[in-house]
Amino acid sequence: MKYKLFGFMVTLLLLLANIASASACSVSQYQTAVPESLRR
Amino acid sequence: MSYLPISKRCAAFLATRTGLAQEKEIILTYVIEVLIINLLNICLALLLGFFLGVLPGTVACLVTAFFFRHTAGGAHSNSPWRCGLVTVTVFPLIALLGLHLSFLSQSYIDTISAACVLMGLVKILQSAPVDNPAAPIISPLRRKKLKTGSLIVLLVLVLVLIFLRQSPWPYAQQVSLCLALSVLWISLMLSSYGHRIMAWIDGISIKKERFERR
Repeated sequence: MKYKLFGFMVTLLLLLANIASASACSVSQYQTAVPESLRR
Repeated sequence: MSYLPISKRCAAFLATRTGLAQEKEIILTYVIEVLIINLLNICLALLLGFFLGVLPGTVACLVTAFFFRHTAGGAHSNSPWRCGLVTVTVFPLIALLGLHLSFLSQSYIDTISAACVLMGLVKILQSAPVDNPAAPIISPLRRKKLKTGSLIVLLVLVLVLIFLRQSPWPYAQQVSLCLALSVLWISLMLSSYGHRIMAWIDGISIKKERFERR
């Protein structure tokens, strides 16, 4: 059960990472470095 | 790539529990940091807006900034803490300015809104999307899509301003001014002046840093 919960969290976070990397930048004045694999 | 220690620790914990590869762990670190910084900044800005009595205006400013920054980009600070200070203070202050200007007559409000939208349009056409070395826009197609996206966001904002102008909502004038002034702030962040302001903020020396250098 715990493993499934962590797996779900990781999947959700990876999906969010894809959405966040599609933005020109974040709402705040600081830009977190986008990993090479998500740059497009 | 440098990330905050808390983001690294959270990502390492999740990666160990789920047996994730190194590459995916970096992506997790990135998204955790994005979530922490943005949620913290948004919550603190809303809290400050609440204490200043301009919560609806602050919400309007943050929503405008979210959509415009998503498509048009803009200048950034090199430090998450300095960035936090700017984000947390600027939007409630814009809302406060909006509140004070909302006591002007409708013709003045219309003129201010039109000027801000026009400035936004010019800056979007000239510069958007403005990327950052930490998140470069590589594909020309993506660049084109983001520019079109920012023009669509501006068009939606104009429609919202027209709707608010006729709305009987007591906060309508204040919120419409906040939306317009946020566009002005976004336009500034798209310009070279915005980059200079952020570079100047990055250049302000803090006592602790001076100690570290000694």
